[in-house]
Amino acid sequence: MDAKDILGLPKNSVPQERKPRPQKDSQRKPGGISREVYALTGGLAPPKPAIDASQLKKRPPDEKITWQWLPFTNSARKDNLQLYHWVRVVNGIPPTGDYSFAKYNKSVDIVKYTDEEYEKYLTDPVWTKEATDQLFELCQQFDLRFIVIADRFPSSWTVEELKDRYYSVARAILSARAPSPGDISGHPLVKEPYNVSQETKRKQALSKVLEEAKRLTESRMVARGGEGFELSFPLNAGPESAERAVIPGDTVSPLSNVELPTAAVAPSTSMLLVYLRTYALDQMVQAESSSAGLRTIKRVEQTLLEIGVNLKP
Amino acid sequence: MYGGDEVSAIVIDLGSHTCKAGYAGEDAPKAVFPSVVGAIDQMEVDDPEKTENNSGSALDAKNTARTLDSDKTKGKRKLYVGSQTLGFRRDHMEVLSPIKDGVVVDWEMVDSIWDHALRECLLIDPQEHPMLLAEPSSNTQQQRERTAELMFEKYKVPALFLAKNAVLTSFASGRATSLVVDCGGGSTTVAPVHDGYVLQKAVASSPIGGEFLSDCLMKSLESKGITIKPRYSFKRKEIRPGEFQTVDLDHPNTTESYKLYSQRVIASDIKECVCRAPDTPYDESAYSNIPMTSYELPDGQTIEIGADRFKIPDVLFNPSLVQTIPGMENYAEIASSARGLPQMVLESINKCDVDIRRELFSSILLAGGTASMQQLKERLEKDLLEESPQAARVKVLASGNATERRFSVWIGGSILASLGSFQQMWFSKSEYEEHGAAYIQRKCP
Repeated sequence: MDAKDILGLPKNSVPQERKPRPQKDSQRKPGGISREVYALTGGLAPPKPAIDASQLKKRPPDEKITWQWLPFTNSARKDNLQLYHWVRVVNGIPPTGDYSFAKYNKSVDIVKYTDEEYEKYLTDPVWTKEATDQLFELCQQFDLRFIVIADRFPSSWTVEELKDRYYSVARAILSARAPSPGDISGHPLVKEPYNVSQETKRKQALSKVLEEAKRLTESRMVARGGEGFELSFPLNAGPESAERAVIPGDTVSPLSNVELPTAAVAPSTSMLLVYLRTYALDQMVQAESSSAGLRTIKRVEQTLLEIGVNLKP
Repeated sequence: MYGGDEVSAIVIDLGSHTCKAGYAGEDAPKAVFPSVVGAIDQMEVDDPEKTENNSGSALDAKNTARTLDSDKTKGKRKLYVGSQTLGFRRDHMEVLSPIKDGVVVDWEMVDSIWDHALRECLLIDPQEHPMLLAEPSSNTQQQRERTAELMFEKYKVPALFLAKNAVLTSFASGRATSLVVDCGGGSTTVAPVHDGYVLQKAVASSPIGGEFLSDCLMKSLESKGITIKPRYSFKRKEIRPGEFQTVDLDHPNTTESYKLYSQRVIASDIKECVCRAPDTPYDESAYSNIPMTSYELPDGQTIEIGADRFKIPDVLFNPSLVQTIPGMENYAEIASSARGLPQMVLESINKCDVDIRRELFSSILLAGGTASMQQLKERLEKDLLEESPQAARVKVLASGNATERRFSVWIGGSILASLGSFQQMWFSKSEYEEHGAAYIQRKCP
C-alpha cells in the first residue's frame, strides 16, 4: 500500500479490504477477548478469498499432457540448425508456431549504399571506399555500438571520427534518395546533424575533469604535508569565478584549499576557463605552500579582505 | 526459468590452472580437474604402431597419441588426464601444460583434456550437444579457427560458440558493461566489457597469477629451510595407536616436473589457507614481528608462516617484491615488466573511451581463483580510491561465495547457453561447412 502511495497508483483494493474488516469486527464482539485468543479456539473463519481456488486447478479433464524432447527450428537463424528442447505436448499434438524467442531478434536498420551512389555523393579525401565499406559492415554487425566498432576497427580512428563519417554518409544518402528536401527535413539526421568538433571538445573536457580531479587530490595532499596544518578556507571555483582574470604571477593569491569544482559538471565553455584557473591555482598552491608560514597566511588574508576579494564566492 | 530455454548445451572453460566442464543451466560445473596432462613418452623407434584404444577403469584412463603434424618425432605418447590419474605417481611421467602465456601450444593435449571431460566426466556424446567454449579475452584468430576445426572435425558437435572469459564473467553478475579483473592461475587479465563486447584494445594482462604466487611461497619456504615433501615421497606408518612415523620412500624415476607439480599442489593449499592480502603495501620492517600461523604439512611436519602470509599476496600489487624472495631471481625480468593490479586497472580504463570510464569504475568485477584471497577486494578498492579520479565512484564487486568467484566464467557460460534469445547465435556445423572456420570471427565477435 505504501508503494502504491509513493507511485501515485490508484488504490483499487479498498473495497476488498472493507468487506473482511466489518466481518471481523462483528465477530469480535463475543467475550471481549482479543482477536488472536479467540482465533486460537478456532472461532474465526478466514474471510472468503476473492478467487475460487478450486477453479484454478481445474483443467479440461480430457487433456493429456506429456513433455517430449523435440527438435525445433528458429526463424531467427539463417541455416537449418535443429536443436532439441523440452516441449509441452497436449494430446499428442506438439505446439505450432515459430520459436517463441525469435521475436527478440532485432537489429538496427543501417543505410546501405550502392557503388554508384558512393561515387556520386560519398567520396571523401580522408576515407577510402574500403574503409567506408568496412565501417558499414562493422556497424551492421555491432548494431551501431560505436565504442565497440572503434575498438574493432583495424586502424585507430576515434569514436567521433567514425560517427562523423557514418552520420554524414547516412545524411548524404538520405538527401540524395529523397524526392524533395522538404520530405526529410523532419528526419533527425537532417534536423540535428552530428557535430564532430563539439563532441571532440566535450570529450577532451571530460577527460580533463577526470584527470584533474586526481591531480587536485595529490596537490591537496602535498599542500597538507608541506604546511603541516589544516587549511580551512575552501575556495569554491564556481562559474562566476571564471570571469575573474587569471593572475599567475600574483603573490597575493588566496592560499587556500582548492576543492573540486563541482560546477565543472555544467557543460559550458566556461568550464574550460574554470579548470584553467584551478589548474593555475593548483600550481600556485604547490609553489607557495612549501615556503609559507602561518603569519604569512594571516597577512595574505588581511590583504585579500582589504582588496575586497571574497574568500568564499 | 524466465527467458530460458534449455537445449542441453555443454559449457567448457579450459583455464590455465583448471578445466571446468558441465551442463548449461546448472549453477556449478560438474567436472573440475587440473588442466595439465601427464605424459609418458614411449621411446619407440621408427615404425609407427597402430593406435590402440584401451577402455580401462576410471582410475587408469589412457589416451593414445596421434602421430601427425609434429615437428619433432615424438613417437607415441600416453597421456593421463584428470586429478585421479595425475595423483598416481608413474615412472617417467612428465607433467605438461598445453597453455603457455594464454596461448595453446599443444593441441593434442587440449584434445585429450576435452575428451576426458566429455567422455569420462560428463559421459555424453558430443554429437548431440551444442558446445559453448570459453576463450581468453585476447585470443588470436588462428587459435579460434583451430578450436573450431578440432570441435567440428573430431567431435562432430552440432553447434559451437566461443565466448570471451570477460564477457561471461560480466553476464554472470548480470551486467552488460563492466571491467573484469580475472585473477586466474596462469595470469591476471583486466578486460573492459561494454554492452556485451570486450574492448580488445584496452585489455591488460600480466603473467603473475596464482601459480606464480604458489611458486613464490615455495621458494620462500625453501630458503627458510623448509622442504615440502610431495605426497608420494613418504609413507606414514602407525607405530602406536594415534602416533605416526614418516618413512621416506625413494622413487628414482620420478621426473622433476612431477615433483614440482606435487609440491605446487601442497603449496597452493598453504597459500589458500594462510595467505591474506595486506591492507597497506608490504613493508619488511612492519611485518617482522607478526605472529606466526602454523600449518601442518601432509608429512606431519608443522611449519610456521609469518610475514610471508602478507608478502606473497602483495606481489600482485607490487611485482617488484619478487626480487626480495630468494630463489626467484630468474623471474626478475618478468616481475620488472609486470605492473601491479591497480595500475593495470587504471591503464585499462584510461585506454577506453571517455564516456564509459565512469561506468567502468563503478562496476569492477573480481573473478578467478586467486580473487578468493581474503581481503583482496578491500585492498584493491582502497588502492584504486587513492589513484582514481574523484569524479568517478569506484566500486569493486565480487560475489561473496568463493565458489562463484572461481567459476564465474563457467557460470556466465551456463547462463548464456540456456537463454532463449541466444539460440540464434550458435555457429552451426552447416555454417562451418559452408563458410569455413574463418567465419567464426563473424559469428562469435
